[in-house]
Amino acid sequence: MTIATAPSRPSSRNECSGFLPIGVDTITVSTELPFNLYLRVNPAAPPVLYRERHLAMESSDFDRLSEQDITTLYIQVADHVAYRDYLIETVLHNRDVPGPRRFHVLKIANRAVFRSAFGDRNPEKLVNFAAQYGDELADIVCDEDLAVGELLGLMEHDYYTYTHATNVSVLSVLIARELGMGVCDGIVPLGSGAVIHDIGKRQIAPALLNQQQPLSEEQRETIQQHPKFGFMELSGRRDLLWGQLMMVYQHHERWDGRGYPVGFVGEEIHPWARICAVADVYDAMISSRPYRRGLPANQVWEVLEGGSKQEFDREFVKALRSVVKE
Amino acid sequence: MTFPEAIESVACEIVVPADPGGENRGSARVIDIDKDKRRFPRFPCRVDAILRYQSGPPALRRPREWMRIMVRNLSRCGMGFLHSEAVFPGERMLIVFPRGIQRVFVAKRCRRIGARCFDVGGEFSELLDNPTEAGLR
Repeated sequence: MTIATAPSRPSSRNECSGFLPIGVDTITVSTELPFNLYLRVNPAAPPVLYRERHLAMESSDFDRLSEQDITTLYIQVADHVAYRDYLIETVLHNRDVPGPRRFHVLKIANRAVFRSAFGDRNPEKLVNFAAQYGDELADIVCDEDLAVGELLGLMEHDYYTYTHATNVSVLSVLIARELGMGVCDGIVPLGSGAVIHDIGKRQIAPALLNQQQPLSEEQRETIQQHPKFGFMELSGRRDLLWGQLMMVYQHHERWDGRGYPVGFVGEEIHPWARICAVADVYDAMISSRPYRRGLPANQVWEVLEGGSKQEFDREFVKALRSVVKE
Repeated sequence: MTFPEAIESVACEIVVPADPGGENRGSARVIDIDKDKRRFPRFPCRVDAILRYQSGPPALRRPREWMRIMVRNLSRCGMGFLHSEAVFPGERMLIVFPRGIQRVFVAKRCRRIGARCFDVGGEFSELLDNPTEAGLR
């Protein structure tokens, strides 16, 4: 089974009302399918039933699809949870599958769930999602044989909410791993905290967050309230650790005290928030936006390493640099 | 012991920035009452008071001792003050003013303006009848 090219976001070419495109290579040979599979024969018509629920796809089926250059199949939208569970069962929890492939499936399987959770007014779903994501991510990343370079190669850098949240989580966990942190040291809640670090942005108008024109002073102040909004939304919860709350509240604080919302300095900033800050800025700079390309690596390191001024914890920047070089 | 004496007995750990503008930053800046659009206007007020933390995020442990603060502005519904340590949004604390008036205060914002000086703003859980009187020694 290969997963490397599975489409993770529906392209306009593949869009079809009531159906979701999935990569052929996310299906495992000889496993019972808990959903109907559809094939699009005619681009102008809806997909037709290809393989009925409870049946399996065999090697010969993959060969035939490959001969016809078919890389995308379809499931009904209503089956997306069954598809996710299928991926988790067949790939994510299968230790025989290499880490980068499991990571790729982790991304595919969770995109729709994250979108639904992020859009929900109640933070419960997002917090639960983050807990599960952190757990599954740590399981992949803590594998000693993990090919980190391959995993990094599978990361997208488009700054969409889901991509950014999960990238920051992956990078945070990789930084922590580089520094010798393991499951016993809290790498799972660290990964979960990174997923929710921007939860406060849900309270800011998307038009403002995505504004391409320079921000006015008032608009900047509004956006800079998102760590506070996120903290206030989550601070009463007993299922979150202080470090996770600080990732939400302090990820824009800077080592030299020039950050927001408070202006904490150096080690006043929780170490998990310092890790999150490095991961957050790295992903934000390296990612392409609709209005600009991602910055080249040398410029990114220039900012993170800071020269004479120090905005970030040097130990964590060094760890990230070491991870990215792998 | 009178309330002002009780307040005086609590050590003040705030270090107001030495730069000339420090005294007038954040909550301490000069307020133009005529331009204040709040429901209840804020008045400049320079008195010391004391606070004790009541409740906050479950994961945050706070001492139960009284701490000295420097009130900088006051209205019926809230105030701004200088404190020696950061407080977190949503934290509740009991404030005692020089005339013995007490209110539960809920922090809304906090910004550092010096090494041991944080500018805190927030609201009272119950309106003050007379903010001017609360601020009087």
